[in-house]
Amino acid sequence: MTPPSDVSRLGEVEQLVLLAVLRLEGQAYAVPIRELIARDAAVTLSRGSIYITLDRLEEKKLVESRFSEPTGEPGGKARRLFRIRPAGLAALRSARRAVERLSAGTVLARKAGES
Amino acid sequence: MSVLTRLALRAVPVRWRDEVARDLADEGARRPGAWRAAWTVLHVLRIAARFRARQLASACSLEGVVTGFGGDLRGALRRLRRTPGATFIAVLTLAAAVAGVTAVYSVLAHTVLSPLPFPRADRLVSLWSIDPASPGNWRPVAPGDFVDYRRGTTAFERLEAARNISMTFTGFDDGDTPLMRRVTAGWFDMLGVPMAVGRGFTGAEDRPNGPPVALLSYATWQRRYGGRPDVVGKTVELDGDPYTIVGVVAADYSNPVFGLVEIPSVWLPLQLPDTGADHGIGNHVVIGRLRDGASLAQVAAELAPISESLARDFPATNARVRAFAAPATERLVAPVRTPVMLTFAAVLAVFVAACGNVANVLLARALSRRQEVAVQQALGAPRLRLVLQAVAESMLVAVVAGVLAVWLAAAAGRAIVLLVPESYLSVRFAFAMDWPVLLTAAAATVAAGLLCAVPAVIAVARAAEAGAVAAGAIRAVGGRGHRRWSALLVSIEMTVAVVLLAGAGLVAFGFDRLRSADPGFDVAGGLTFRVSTRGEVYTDPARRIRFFERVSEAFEGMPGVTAVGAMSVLPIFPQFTLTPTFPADQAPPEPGREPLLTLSNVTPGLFDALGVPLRAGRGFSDHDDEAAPLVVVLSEGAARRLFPDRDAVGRSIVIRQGGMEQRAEVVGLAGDVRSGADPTAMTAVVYQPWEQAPAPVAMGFVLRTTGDPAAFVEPARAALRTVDRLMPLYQPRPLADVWRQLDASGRFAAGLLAAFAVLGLTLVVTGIYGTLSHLVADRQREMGVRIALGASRGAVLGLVIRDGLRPAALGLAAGVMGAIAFGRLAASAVSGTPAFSAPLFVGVPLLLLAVVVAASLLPASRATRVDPVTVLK
Repeated sequence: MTPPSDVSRLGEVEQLVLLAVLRLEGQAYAVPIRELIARDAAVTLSRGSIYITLDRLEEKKLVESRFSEPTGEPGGKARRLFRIRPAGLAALRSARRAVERLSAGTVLARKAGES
Repeated sequence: MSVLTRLALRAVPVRWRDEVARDLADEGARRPGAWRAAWTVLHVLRIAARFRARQLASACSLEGVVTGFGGDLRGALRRLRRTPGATFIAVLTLAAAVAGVTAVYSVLAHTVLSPLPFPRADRLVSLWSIDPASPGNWRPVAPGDFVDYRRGTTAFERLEAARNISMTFTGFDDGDTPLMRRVTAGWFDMLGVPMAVGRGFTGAEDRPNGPPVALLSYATWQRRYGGRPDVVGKTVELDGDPYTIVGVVAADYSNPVFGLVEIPSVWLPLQLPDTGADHGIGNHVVIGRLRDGASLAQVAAELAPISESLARDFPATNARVRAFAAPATERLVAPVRTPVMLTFAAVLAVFVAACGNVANVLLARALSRRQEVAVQQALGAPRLRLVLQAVAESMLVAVVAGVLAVWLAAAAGRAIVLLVPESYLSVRFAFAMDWPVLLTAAAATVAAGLLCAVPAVIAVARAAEAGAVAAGAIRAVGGRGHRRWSALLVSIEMTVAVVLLAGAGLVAFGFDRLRSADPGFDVAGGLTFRVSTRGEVYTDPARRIRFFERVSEAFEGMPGVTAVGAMSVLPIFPQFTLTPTFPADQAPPEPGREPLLTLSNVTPGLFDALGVPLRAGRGFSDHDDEAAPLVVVLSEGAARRLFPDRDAVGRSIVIRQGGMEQRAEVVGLAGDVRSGADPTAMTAVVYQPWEQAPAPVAMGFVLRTTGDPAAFVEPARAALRTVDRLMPLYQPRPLADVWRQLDASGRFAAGLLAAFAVLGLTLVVTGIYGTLSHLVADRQREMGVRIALGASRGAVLGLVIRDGLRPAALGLAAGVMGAIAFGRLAASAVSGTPAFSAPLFVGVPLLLLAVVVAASLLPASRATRVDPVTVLK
């Protein structure tokens, strides 16, 4: 079984996907998530990684999915849309705090203070 | 969405399937049309791969496959022990299948793949003389040609030659003329054969007029010298001359190269001169070891100019001689390669059928556990775990069967080798359980374990996929899957059975045709052996003639012997020497363009003794001696070649031999005599009275007896001793044995194929019976409903039988096509085998259909007895 501490610790890809889900505000699914990460983070993730990461984030209860209204096109099925859960938000915060604490007193921290 | 995309999507977990399909369809829409489908499939597969890789990793890290699999094995063992009968049958079936594959692979490996027991035998090449006009006839090389090949080529590390000779042990009370062989000094080094005692020949001993030295075979050393190590330096007397023994050849020496299969008792140095060796008579078997990096093509390129210059320098002997290089095993292996390969294919087919049966049993078992699987799944067992449980059961059965199979294969392999009579015309069948063979057994075991697990694994995976659904729904899913798989298995087994039965039938037909074909002489009651005149006493030709005359008279005086004849070359044995012959009333063809025929010198009694009928004219008499006009008798085949559309008797022919021309009158026509396994291959023979030819050194005798020919060997030996105590009788063999050797490969193929056909048929019958039984059990509820709704017993019976017949008919159709393909192959491989036989190709499917109906009757009648009240409760 996965140790519970793993739930709150985020991998790099998980962090990127979680941030993208947050930004897309309830309209998140694999295609726009991948495009957003590619545009803003300049990281190209494989499609498979996006699905697997979403799968895992849902398993960890950091995101939740619901089915949208079926689209009008013929045979159009409901789309699975992802939304961040409070635990996901907390995980992102704690990840950011970890980065801040670690960068305190370094070039990175000063730069942050200047801005 | 394309079919391919839909197929690929099946590899993606269900919960993501629609999502992935939608996303890719959206993105794919932006791509150019031609590429869209391929692009989509590719990306679906990539995504699926990511999911599966994660699944595998998590399964491994979660439980640890090894410890988990141990538990699976224990569970499987428990389940198997619950049904000992079915388990026993499954183990036995797989054991027979794996044993068959192992035993036949062993024969394949030792007989066809690496038949030469020498280090790096694949680098050994044999050289032959061929006539460009008939390149299929490989003849041994003339000594003069060999000397030139050896001098003119660089591709060989060594190029060595051997020649079979006959000499008589004269220093012992029981004289004998066993096979002996002259070889060049490097022969044993080239092959990599060590000496048991002493040393091999040196270069100095292998020169003309070199010292008289000899090597003994291990058997001769044991028999004649009691295996004493001080034999080196002693002398052995051959044809009255002393030879110093320098060594004994290793015990396990065997030399399965065409012409050299028999192991000689003594080896002598070949002692060829560097120049002036004979170019006329090809009687040397030449073998070379290729240098590293050299190829057969290089050898051929180096030999071509040598052959051309020999043809220029010696037109009388070499105008039609070209050197030809082939792998050393080629000539021996070629006749058995396809029969052995066909047998291996047959055994693989039986293997597949056996796996099908066991797979079916395991599938039924897996389906009976559907509910258990669903519960395990609900409790959180990963799907890999459930699949591994199914594999564990199948593997357990396979491994037990594999161990049993190794033991079975050892016994079967020995039986196979015993079944095949030794033949001088083909490679010796060998069998051994060595590492490669054991590895094959292991591979076959693992393959069987995996193959048998496939249907069960798919059923379990399906059941697990639908894990959340109620158990009743799973039953429906599993039931349909089971039926489809069972039908497929029945089809496959039918295909295998048709190909095996029809194939075995074809080979058996051919074999029968071969056996019943007329050899051209009377096999029953005939005895052949050789008698020679070795040594100082018989150097005078007149004396040799007198000796053979007296020997013939001695044999004629034996009670029970009705006819005695002798000839220079016995029928059936490979005829290497062909003599240029042409009709005398035609313009003489230029040398090298004449028809080539076999010339045989015979005594007047030969035609009677051998039982060759005279078709026209007369045979020979004692008056056809050196003082009388030269006469010949032609075989019908020879007459057809020399005098097409004309009557041969009374005409004259010219024989070119040894640079001379002889004109002889044709006085008779004799029936054709077979010379090989192929019924169409009749030797064209020119028979010449022996007294009108140079006096022979050795002759092959044929005795026609009234009883068991083998019983006449000792009396004949005694009769010979009354003429000369020292001259032995050797190579005694009933004509029937000689004849039997011809069809060794055909008999082997027919026997093995028949055995596998019977095995295959048994598997098919039990397989179909088992499958239908399961199907009936599976559909009990349905049958109950049908009967409750008023279906007649006959209708239910028909339903079950139809269920069995549909896949069987499909398998029959595929099988007939397979059998037609097999027939083509077998016809080209096993001489005499017909490619097609209408009664067989119609009869076998009909027979199998009857078998299917019979096999389905019992389960079908069980279905009609289903009590609707019980099953619907």
